[in-house]
Amino acid sequence: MPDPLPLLQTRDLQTGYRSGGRKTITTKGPLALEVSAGQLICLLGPNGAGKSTLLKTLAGLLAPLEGSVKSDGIDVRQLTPIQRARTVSLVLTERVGTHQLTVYSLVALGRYPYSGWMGGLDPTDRTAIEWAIEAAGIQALRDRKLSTLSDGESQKVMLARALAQDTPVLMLDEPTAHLDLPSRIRLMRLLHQLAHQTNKGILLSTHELELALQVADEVWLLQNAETLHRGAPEDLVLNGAFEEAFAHEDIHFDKQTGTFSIQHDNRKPVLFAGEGLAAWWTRRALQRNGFFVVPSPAAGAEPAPLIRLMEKGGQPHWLLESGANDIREFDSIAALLAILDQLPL
Amino acid sequence: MPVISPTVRLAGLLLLLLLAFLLDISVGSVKIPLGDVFHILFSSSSKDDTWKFIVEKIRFPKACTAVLAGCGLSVSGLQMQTLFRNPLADPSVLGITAGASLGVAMVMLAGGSIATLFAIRELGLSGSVLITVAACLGAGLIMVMVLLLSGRLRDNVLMLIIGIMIGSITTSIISIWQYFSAPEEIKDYLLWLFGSLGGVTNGQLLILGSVTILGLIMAWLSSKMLDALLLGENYARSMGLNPQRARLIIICSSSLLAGSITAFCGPIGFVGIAVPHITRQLFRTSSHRILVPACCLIGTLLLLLCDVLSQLPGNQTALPINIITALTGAPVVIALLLRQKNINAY
Repeated sequence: MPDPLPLLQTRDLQTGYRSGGRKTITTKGPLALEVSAGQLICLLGPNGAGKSTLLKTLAGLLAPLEGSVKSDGIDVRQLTPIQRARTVSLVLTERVGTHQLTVYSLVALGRYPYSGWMGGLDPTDRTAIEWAIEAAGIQALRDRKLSTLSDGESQKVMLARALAQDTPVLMLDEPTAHLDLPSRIRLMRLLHQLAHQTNKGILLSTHELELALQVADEVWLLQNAETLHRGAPEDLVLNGAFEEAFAHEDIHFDKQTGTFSIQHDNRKPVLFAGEGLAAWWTRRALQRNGFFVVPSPAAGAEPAPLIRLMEKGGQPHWLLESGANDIREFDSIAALLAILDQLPL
Repeated sequence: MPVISPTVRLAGLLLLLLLAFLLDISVGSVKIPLGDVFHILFSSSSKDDTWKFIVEKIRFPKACTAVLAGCGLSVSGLQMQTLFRNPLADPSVLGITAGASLGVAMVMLAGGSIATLFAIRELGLSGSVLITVAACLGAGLIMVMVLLLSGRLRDNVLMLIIGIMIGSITTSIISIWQYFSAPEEIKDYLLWLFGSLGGVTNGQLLILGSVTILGLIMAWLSSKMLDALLLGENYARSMGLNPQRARLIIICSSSLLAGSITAFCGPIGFVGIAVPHITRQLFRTSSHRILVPACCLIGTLLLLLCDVLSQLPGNQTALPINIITALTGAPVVIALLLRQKNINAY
């Protein structure tokens, strides 16, 4: 049950940069956003839509052009740096390159807003550090130097540092960039669990639409400088917000599966007969190679090669009929495609 | 490499340091045996009054100057490397050293043709106060200029570039002054540029010592800020660091250290850049609570040994300290970086 009182709340927010008296508006808004406890929010949007600027503004690192970001009714820009650091913690995209720093010391730096003048740690700090290391699942890395970590490990270590900061709100700027697929899924699942188990409000920007659809409690979809759609991911699928945000003639959003597919330029017709898993993948391969798959021979249609999917000893086989008596058999899609490409169509 | 605990390493370093200190007093144009040095320093008595004079009035102040300069320059270099997240940063990069030089040059210029730097040093305390104040003001002036400009930029790398540019401007101004000066003044200035630990008397040592210790205390108290800055300014701010205040404290402390030492010893190079690298390698840590005192120890040891080396030609001649620090510092840095195979070792 999410806390009724939001952890962060914006009013009439407009984000962007001020430099030398000139304003560069990134997101015009006005935005009315809320981050609530126990909620995982994914901020999605095309490159250059202003995701990082919005995150930095919400974290109080950047002054809003208009409006305000409030935490507990207080403008985050009015908080002292220490108070702000006790409210929002951040994981940024920049890599930290200090080679003599161990994982433990890095996570310990997360206690900055609590530790003493010289950075001394008391038992509370140590407990928080241990918890953060365990929560991020990096116990095995604690004595390693930062320079020896892989991208995935490094991202988890930075997450642990933010967790040690013990803030109600946690923001991550593209935490899944540079990670391989299993690491991306694991990290997203971890963040989802953290939001629900520790009652933190977690906001992350990402390009992982399909993953975001699976784990996010709420999606903020930045379409362009003017529009931000927010809502449950499923609602945004159904009301067409996703399609609109990423609308492009070559890209097709499949509402059935919640995935994007590349629209191929399919001009060469083939007939295809078959069922099951192998049939699904055969169709995909044909589409990728520029074939237009016709389900069954239509009367009066142009003659087209016919592919039949068969089973032989538990393995799929493909029969290609082109012309009157030309029937060939294949045991792999690659072999089929190689011959298909040579046919005059 | 066998694991040696930091305590043992610190103790070993302290012992080496004491040895180097005594050795530095013992060698020179007049050789004084180590035993006698010990005697003179601790019981203030000696069978030879000349030796006593040499140790008390010349060599002890010189060794103390080496200690102060070693601490100050290396800690200042450490602060700059962390603040700018750049392994090449040191006090001379920000233009602090050039600013101090400008201050010194201005005092010499105002003194006209007779009052050269060494003449002012002969004046004793008031003269050295004048030069220290001028050098610290020169360093401070550059610092304020860099700070004012960096306030508009909020970027440490840009600040580094601005520091280099301002340093070049300052050096050019000094060159203009040199161009219109009498040859004797230029000669004195060039000698000062070579660097010397020798020109500091007991009284001046008090001034240099108090300013350096003040700078070192400020540096040590800023350890926590420096640790946070290791992650870059954005992360540091997200953890509650006030970047303006941190920059002010770090640059103040750095210009106190580099300004005062440059005033008395000339612009001594390589210590500021080399010692932090050596220290990080030896202590294998990035924590400034350890690095600041450790840099003091290693900087002191390095400068004392350099001073001993500079005495080796024997007779009346001693090589300028700047030559020795470059000759020993540069290969050490190269060797360490090769072993580490990575330049981003700040």
